[in-house]
Amino acid sequence: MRDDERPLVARLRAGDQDAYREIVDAYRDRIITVVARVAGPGADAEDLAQDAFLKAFAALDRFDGRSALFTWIYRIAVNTARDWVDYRRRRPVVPLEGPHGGPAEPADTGALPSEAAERSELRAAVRAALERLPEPFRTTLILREMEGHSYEEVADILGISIGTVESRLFRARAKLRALLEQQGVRPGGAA
Amino acid sequence: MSAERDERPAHETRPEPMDEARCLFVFSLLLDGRPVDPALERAARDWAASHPECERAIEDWRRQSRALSEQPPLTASAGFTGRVLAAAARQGVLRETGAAAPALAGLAPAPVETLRPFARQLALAAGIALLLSLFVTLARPAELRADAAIARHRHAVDGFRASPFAADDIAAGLRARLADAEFGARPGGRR
Repeated sequence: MRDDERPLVARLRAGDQDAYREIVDAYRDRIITVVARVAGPGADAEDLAQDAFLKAFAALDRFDGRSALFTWIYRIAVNTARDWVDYRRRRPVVPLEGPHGGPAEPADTGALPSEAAERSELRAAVRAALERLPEPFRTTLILREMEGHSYEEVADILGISIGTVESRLFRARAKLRALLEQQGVRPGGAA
Repeated sequence: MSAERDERPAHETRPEPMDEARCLFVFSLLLDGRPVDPALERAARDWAASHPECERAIEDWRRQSRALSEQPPLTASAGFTGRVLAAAARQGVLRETGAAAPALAGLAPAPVETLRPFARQLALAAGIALLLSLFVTLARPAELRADAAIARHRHAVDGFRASPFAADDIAAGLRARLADAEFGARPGGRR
């Protein structure tokens, strides 16, 4: 636990309701983003994020302070999303686009129109390939490439060794490239 | 971090001559700014320079990494924090001991909390009533009633007992009387 988090954790444990609000306000966007990415399309990211916060609140007594509070809640969120993926794999349904079914494409400021279109196309293709990337490579790649976590943080969140993170990322990159090639896309340009 | 088994295959952990897989593994680390042994890095760069397919793969990885990192983050919808805190209050995962507890008083659904003690008291009262009734029933001695048929023949039995006849004769006489229609016997001899 970081030193600056101690007062907040103490307030949570003392039942200070404003502290709960502060936690949700501070982390909600990152939690919603990561559960949406890990759970993929068809998931209601806000529902999953809410579940994650509730699980964290209920388990506050088990927070031992070995990791940062955010990392601890974040890990609960990632596991909640992975559980949802497992559940959905066992009971497949036709996905419906919810309010967070797919993120809006970012604007390519400063890029030439053709270049912007190409990058937007690649982003969509990579997103589609990512959906097909098997676990555990998918979550590892998401945490590193999309969420920007260090190897140490990925290892902490997933409960694996640094060596395993290195290996999974190497294989994830190779598999993602192979999936893109199957889709007829070459990230480098010419297919 | 858990002590999960290192998943790296042998070719990634043993010092062996450079090949494509080893070269790509080294570049996967370099892409993420991980420390690599300088001699190994030099060998990987030399290998890539002389193997166009390897260079192409590395370039593809760079582009797919960029496409992944450009995926836009999500933001929570309005009222998300309020919904999370209301759900937490409903499920009883918020602590109530804090000084600021009234801040959430309006969010918790009152009917559940007011009905619960009433239901508990009702169940307790029903249990006590049941136990009381069982105790009274078991403690009260049962009313003893002689069988009507025995009562009707009691005087005859007493008469036989007082007679000088042997026990066998008395039993035979009683059986005959029980079978006698004059004394109320039904066909088949049973009363």
